[in-house]
Amino acid sequence: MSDGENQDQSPGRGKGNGRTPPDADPVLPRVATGDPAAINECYDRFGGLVWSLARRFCPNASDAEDAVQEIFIDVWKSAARYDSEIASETTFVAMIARRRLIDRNRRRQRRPPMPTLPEQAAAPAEAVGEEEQSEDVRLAAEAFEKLRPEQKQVLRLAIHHGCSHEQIATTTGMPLGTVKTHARRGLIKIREILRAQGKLMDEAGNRPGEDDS
Amino acid sequence: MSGSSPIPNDLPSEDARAWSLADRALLGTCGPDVSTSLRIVEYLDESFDYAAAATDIALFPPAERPPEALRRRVTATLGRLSEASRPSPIPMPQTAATTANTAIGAPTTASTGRWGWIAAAAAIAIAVAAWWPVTEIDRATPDGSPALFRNALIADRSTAVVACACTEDPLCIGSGECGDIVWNAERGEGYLRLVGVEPNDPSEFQYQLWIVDSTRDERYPIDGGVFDVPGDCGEVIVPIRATVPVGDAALFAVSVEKPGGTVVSDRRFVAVAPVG
Repeated sequence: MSDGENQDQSPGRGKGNGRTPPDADPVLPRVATGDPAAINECYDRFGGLVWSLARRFCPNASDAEDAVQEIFIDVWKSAARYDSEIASETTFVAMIARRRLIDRNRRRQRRPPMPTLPEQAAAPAEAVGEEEQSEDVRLAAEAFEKLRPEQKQVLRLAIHHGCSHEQIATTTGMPLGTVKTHARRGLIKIREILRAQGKLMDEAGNRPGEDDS
Repeated sequence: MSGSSPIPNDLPSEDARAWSLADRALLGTCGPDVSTSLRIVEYLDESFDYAAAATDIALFPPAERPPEALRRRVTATLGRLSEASRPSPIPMPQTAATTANTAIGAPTTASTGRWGWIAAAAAIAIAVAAWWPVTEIDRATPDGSPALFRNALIADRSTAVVACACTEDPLCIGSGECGDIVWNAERGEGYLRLVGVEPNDPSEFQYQLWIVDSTRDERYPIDGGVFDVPGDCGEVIVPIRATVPVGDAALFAVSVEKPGGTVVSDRRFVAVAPVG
């Protein structure tokens, strides 16, 4: 994906196709109460997101299916602490998914390599699950565009597969220290921009604008 | 191993913390050379993880549909879990979230702000404690003296019982709460009751209890003792063995550590119990 891709979303709530915005009717609070219907709805809403992430991080479809199962259990366990004032449900679910997938990757790297099945071609990039883009995702896209080209290059590699600094250095030919600096400063910049727009809490648990020195 | 994150020594601590949290969000780990720069409350900061997740979706929007069989598998599993964990008709999680919002919004000064996470977690703990069936507390193992001492301590009016909340660590297999802390500040005596946590092989790792004392520097929590969770044990009750007197316990946390425990935690927590 080029830097300019995914920038065709209009500000606000995405493509305006008349569907319900993703966070207009939050499902996680209902998942937390044990509502059986909410579990199905949660999967329908975020299954595409989680599956796409898992396919990207996992070596084969079977591993991705196991990961998706684990991620949705994590989501179910964490649903009660979702706070709509901090992030959208989409971002919350993606955060949980990324953590699990990065953790699985780290564990996998400690094991002997397993033979992997050939990668299946991805289905066309049609709307999957969520047709609308959450505000924090739109803001993240805008923030990403404000980064320096080298930061974008490194951050894209880091985020896409959870590539290590060494792997990125090998791929890009950049010195290891430069890779680390670009990855960290790039993400810090995006976080700062999101916080400036009233998103996320800081390390002290403060919301934007609250004790934000 | 340079894979994690050597932080230049001359970096201001604020930058070191931010770099460390950025590494965790992108790589899933903080290097051993930087993890010590994180306080417990900072370790639980998720803002960098949220930023990475939002950027991930922005750059790589979902492009594949999951197999239909996976839908059946996941929803069936979640349905069973949900059914098995429904102890009360009271919608506790919503109450907890609402209370937590109120607590987070309250701090008005820097000193209270840094405790924002603890305040939020405490609100959740209070809600859990309010919802907790009394019979759960009474169901102590009949043959274990820690259980008997624990029950005796609960009978003391000055004893506090606070719920332990699961973290997202894979070793915590329960949901929501995973036990409690019974703590009597006057006596400096207490017990940890832990359920739904994976058994450990003591030769590989052990669990360690930490106490954040608000009268001390929060960077240096008090070691509350190392313990094991046996494989045949659904519930474990552990006496709290603080290595120094506890002034004002603000938070209890259980971490995963190397065999024998540590003096500087890697801050991999499986359960936390904020004291309201």
